[in-house]
Amino acid sequence: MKTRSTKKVLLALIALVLIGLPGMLLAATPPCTSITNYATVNFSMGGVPQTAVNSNTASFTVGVKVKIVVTNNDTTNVTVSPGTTKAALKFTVLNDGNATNDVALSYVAAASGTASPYGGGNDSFDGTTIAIYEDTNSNGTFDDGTDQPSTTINDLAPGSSNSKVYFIVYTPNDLTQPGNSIAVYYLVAQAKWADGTNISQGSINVTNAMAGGTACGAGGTTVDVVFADDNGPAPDAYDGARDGKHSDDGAYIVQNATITVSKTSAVYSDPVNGTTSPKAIPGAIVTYTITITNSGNANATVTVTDSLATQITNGYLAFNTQFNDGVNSCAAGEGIVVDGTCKTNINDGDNADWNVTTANTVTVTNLTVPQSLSKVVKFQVVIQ
Amino acid sequence: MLSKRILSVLLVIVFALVGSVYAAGVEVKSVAEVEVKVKNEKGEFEAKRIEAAKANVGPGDEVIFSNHYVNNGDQPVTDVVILNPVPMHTVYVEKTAGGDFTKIEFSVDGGKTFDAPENLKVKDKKGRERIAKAEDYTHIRWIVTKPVAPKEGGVVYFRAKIK
Repeated sequence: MKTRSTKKVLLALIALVLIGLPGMLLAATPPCTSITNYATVNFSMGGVPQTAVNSNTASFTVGVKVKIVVTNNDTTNVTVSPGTTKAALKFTVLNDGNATNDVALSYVAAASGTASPYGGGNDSFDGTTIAIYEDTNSNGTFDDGTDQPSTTINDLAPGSSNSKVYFIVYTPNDLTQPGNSIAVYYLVAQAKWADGTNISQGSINVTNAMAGGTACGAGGTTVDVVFADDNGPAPDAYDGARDGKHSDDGAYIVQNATITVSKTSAVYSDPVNGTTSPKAIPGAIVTYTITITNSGNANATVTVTDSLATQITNGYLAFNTQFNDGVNSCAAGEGIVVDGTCKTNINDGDNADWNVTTANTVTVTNLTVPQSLSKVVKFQVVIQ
Repeated sequence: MLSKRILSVLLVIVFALVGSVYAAGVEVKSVAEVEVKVKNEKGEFEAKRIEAAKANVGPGDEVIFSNHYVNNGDQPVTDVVILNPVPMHTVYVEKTAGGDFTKIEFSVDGGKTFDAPENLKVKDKKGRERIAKAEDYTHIRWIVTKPVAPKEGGVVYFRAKIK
């Protein structure tokens, strides 16, 4: 046990070093740092070494590079199903500049027709309940109830080891779109000075409070401020190149059933011709076939009802209590065929009945229609 | 009397300053520049060097450091060696050091020892030796391979990237 825990600690240390290292290597020179250079010359005169001579000191001051990088960390479209289970798009926000920045976050719904970054189709809807959440417990995954809504990052220090995870979270209680519908969202991050004020480019008197460091002085140092961000995928109105903002996109794909129902009828037999070219004459048996098709990308459980009340009341039809269409030959008292299986007319727990749940009505319950498949319900009537 | 005494003190100071320059024989001036792209009269972009102190310099930018030396004495000087620590907050850019009639060597130990790049080794975190990379260099030195006549000189240079 002891060795195992030691190993764990070692692994954790190695992991820390590995994670920490890139950030340390990337550590940018803070704004207002003075960089100085000088040379020393040694020489001899008449073969006698002389006192070394120093050059002047050439110096200049490092400006402010403002560069926030937003990266979507999903690897595919994030599925969302109608209900209350929140679905999260994951983003990392990195400060690739050299000053500590505050960051303002916002989300933008992509225009209809915008392709998903992960394929599968184009944006066709927007959600209503969308919010940005921080990864409060810093575990890299969205935890509903633990991670909290937040649209600002306070004092994001430069370097990848300081980057933060944020989520665009959709609560899909309004979702009615069919399966495979796509909604694309951008997370836009805007850099601010560490004191929360807006940044502008140019020759600026930058103070410690603005740069979030100590090299500029409380009263400030005049240095060049440069936006070095790339142009993210969000429209330029929200994020262009070198505007102090950056964005990336993620997408939701709807996981939902799409059900269509069709009903056909065919005369099976008549008292004169039997089953050979039967005609719809009194006494003829007519088969009704109801096909339920799920073209969505989620399984569906449906209830099928078909009322014959009007026709029966008018004396046109009677329900055939024993189904037989030459394919399914059911026993007495079995007038309904669900997905090839004969079902009793009584309400006996087989999820199908006639004239029990509702008068003069065929009722089929708990019928599961898997995605991209069809289920068939059949029953017969006798023409009066 | 008082004013004469002040004058003589001043003269001593002036002679001391002048004397130090001439005694040295060699002077060296360090310059830091950056290359910026400017449009010329034909509308083409061309690289132009401007003083780093007057430019917009930030992390990732490359700075050209050059040392201009001249023999201001009246005798030739020999064994001229120009030593330049790689400035803090910068990293030497590989194969950018140059200068006519010089042999260029680098140090990875704070200027204690110098050698050609292929002979420089550093130890990694596990104590294994590897060939030093440009970012390991701490100092650069140029050994001028010929005597420098009076009123003559040269320029040695290198580039470094701001961290």
